[in-house]
Amino acid sequence: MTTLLAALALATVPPSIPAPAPERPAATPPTQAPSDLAAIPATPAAPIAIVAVQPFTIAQPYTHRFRKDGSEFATGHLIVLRAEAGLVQPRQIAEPVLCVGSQTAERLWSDPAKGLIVAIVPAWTERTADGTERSGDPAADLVYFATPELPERVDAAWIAAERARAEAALAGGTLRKAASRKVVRHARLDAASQDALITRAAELLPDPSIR
Amino acid sequence: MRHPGGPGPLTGYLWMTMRLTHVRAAGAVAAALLSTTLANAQCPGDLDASGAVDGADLAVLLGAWGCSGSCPGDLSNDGFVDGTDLGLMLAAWGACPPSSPAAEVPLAAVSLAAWPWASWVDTFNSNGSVGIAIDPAQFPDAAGRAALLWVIEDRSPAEWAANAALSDARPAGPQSITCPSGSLQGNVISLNVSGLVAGNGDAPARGYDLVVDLDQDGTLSPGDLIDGRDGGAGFWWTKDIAALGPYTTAQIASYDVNDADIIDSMELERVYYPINAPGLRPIVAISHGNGHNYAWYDYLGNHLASWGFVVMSHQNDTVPGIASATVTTVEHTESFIDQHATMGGGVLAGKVDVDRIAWIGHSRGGESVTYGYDRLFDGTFTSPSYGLADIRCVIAIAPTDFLGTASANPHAVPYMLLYGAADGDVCGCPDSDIADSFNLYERAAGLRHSTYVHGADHNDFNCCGINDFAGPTGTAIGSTAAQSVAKASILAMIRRSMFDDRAMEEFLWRQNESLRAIGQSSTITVVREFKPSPSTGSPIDDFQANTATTVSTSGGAVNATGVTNLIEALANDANTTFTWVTTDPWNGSVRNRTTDSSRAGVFDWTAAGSITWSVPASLADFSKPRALSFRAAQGTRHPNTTAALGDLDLTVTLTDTNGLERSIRIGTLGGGIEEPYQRSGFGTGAVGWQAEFETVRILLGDLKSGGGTFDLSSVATVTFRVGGADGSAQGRLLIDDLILEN
Repeated sequence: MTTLLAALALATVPPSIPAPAPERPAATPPTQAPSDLAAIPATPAAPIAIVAVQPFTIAQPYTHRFRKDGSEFATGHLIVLRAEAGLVQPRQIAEPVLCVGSQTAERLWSDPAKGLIVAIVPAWTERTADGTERSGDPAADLVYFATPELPERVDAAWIAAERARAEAALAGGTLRKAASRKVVRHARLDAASQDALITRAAELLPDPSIR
Repeated sequence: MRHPGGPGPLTGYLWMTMRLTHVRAAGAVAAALLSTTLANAQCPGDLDASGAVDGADLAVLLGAWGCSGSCPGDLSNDGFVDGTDLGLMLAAWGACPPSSPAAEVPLAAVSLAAWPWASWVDTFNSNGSVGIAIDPAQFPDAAGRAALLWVIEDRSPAEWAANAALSDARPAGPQSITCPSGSLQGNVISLNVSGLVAGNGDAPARGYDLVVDLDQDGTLSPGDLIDGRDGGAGFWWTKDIAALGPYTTAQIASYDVNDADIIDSMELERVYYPINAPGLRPIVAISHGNGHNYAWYDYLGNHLASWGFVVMSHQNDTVPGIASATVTTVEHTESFIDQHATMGGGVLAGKVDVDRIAWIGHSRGGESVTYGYDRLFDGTFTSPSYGLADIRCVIAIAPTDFLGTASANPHAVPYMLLYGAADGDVCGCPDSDIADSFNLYERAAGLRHSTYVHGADHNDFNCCGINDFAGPTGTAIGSTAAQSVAKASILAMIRRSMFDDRAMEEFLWRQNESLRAIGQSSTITVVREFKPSPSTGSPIDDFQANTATTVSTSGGAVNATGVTNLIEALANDANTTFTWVTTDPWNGSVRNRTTDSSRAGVFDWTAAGSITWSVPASLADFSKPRALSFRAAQGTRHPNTTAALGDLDLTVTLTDTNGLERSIRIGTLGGGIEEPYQRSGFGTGAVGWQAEFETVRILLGDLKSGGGTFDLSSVATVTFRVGGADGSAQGRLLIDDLILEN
């Protein structure tokens, strides 16, 4: 028995670590594969089009987390936008902050393949030329992608500065306002809760990340 | 033995105690005296350990006659030196019987292609084999002798003390061997592993002790060799840690925690758990990244659940930012602890260990778990359900670094970074600190490990994210391969952190060429860093103090000869490209912000040269620490790096105070310092990406191979020799953390 086992032991190769491969001359740099993650366009940038707008009320207000000075809101708009992929694709580094007038939008989700994004815009007011105030309207007011940043870190002053940049670009012809001629205006939604609001948003644009 | 988790090695059959003892010596002098007791434990009566019971011993006994208390000569241990003890001594009169116990020595090993011919590691994959390296020079009594090689289920020191009978775990019983004579080269014996069982319940590895039974009497007896008696195991026989574990798993697909502290749209969790696993099960919480989904980590949830963990993956509020995501991380953890007993109809009731929690986060979620720990550390978040000590480890997969030094800070929690070299999102780019995951790793002040995977992109670590691969054509490894690496390394890290599982630790520091999960393809390049807790190591030079290049952290002189451009400073790429320019010596080291503090050294060479560290006397004893380790990375796109591509090799030489040397080529241990991933962008010309620090851990026991008079207990210098006959002909090397590890 022991002789047999000794023979077995000899027949088996003990574990070993291979010697390192020799170094080789550097060749022509290898071809690089392009990433499907589109580069972020220069900002300010505008959506291609406003696809849909739906005003809402919500019985249980919640805090707007997409600006540092956000407060609770009970009214606003659900919006669906079409934009180029680099503005729509979620990414880990800072994304262009989606703004509507003087308000930031809550990005819910996007469908990069279709270039669509759905968002919640809490109600805000715009000051008119005669000094009066009116309610903001995503289908009429300036919608723009501002400098990449975490929305939770921006405040009114930051938004004002970004808006000024966007308006200057608009005036200078380097920014074109999003098309809104074909916008679908849905009737006001009176939602009981945030969950209900999001359920409705999913009807406007299903969340493609849900399997 | 090399098992830091177990008790220290036995002191052998002699021990010496020096103590101040109050004695009453019969008729004589002292009320108090300094006594030295030197005794042979195997030969009672041999009070002076001379190997015989003789007149000298009798003199000692008589000198203590009448003594009470703790006295030399009290052979009966009854507190008195009297006639009983004299009788015992006379009965033992003469030469002591052979009393050398079996020697605790490392036996399990992998063979090496060059000196030291073997490395005495502990962990072996069960699809492979185990080497038995009996160094003839260290054990001349065994050289050339026939013996029986036994494999015994791991016993504790107490179990060995109580039972010296050998019982082989293999159906065929003990293996006949002939111990090598001459050199160890080519003489590593292959253990017959037929019938060995891998894994032990939740543990992927099963421990076995090894005995070389030289007298072939079937007992552990004097003169035999044993590996594994004094704590830990002789070797660990390991299942495939990239494959599912022993438990069948089930899932609670979607559960709404309905927690007032979590925004309504972020309240869902998915839970994976082992069915019929006994006892309480630790928690693993997963925080996804931006645009990701809590249901995208089934591969990880099922894997960890099959190894006995309860895994909860939750919606993570990443879009507003890291602070918002951190709220969902910490609050979901609390909600899960509070509600787990009622989830899924109560299937988890009484089965969750709420005191053992691991956090895993991906991308922005990787930063949110890190910031979550920081908030617990700072006290800006507290929970009635768990606290800082319950978070046993934090694992970040390609985390962002929005918050920077103060907040994206793991402090001293065991921390792991998993990162793909082809990440097209959190890219490790030089133009933005936000995309530099290694920043967080460098801040980790406790045990830490990184797994850097060539050819893996950001979304390879979930099921369904966009293809963001950015790297050389043909090098993409795909999600299946990337996830096999993730499953293995994450399991190893969690088990090391939660259970001090030393078998798994080797998967965190051994070169990938030397050890990887059975299910991981050998074609995947994985670069590993590992640094133990600072409390278990002594830096010779970690470049954090004594900032001149001529003085090490430990205060010794540093002498560089023949190498060029040696500097030490904050290891921070200071411009926005990866193109090599002399004004940016830390090119590629995207591992620090300017507010961070991780310093390192860097130098280059085109001819033979060396850097020598003088070892202070306080650190000179290398015979007790387990390893000498350092980390190094090739300089990104430096002409010396790109002149010849490949793993970079060098020689590490120890010189003792007698001027004798021991040298080891690091390539012998498995590949050397990894060739940089050949990714382009952020510059022109040569390619190469961020600095890939890799840990090299030289087991100091290996340096005893071949015997000789080299004095490991009195090391004067450590030298890195480069160029010429000592390694790669040219190169540029970032170096750090030259540490003696206990």
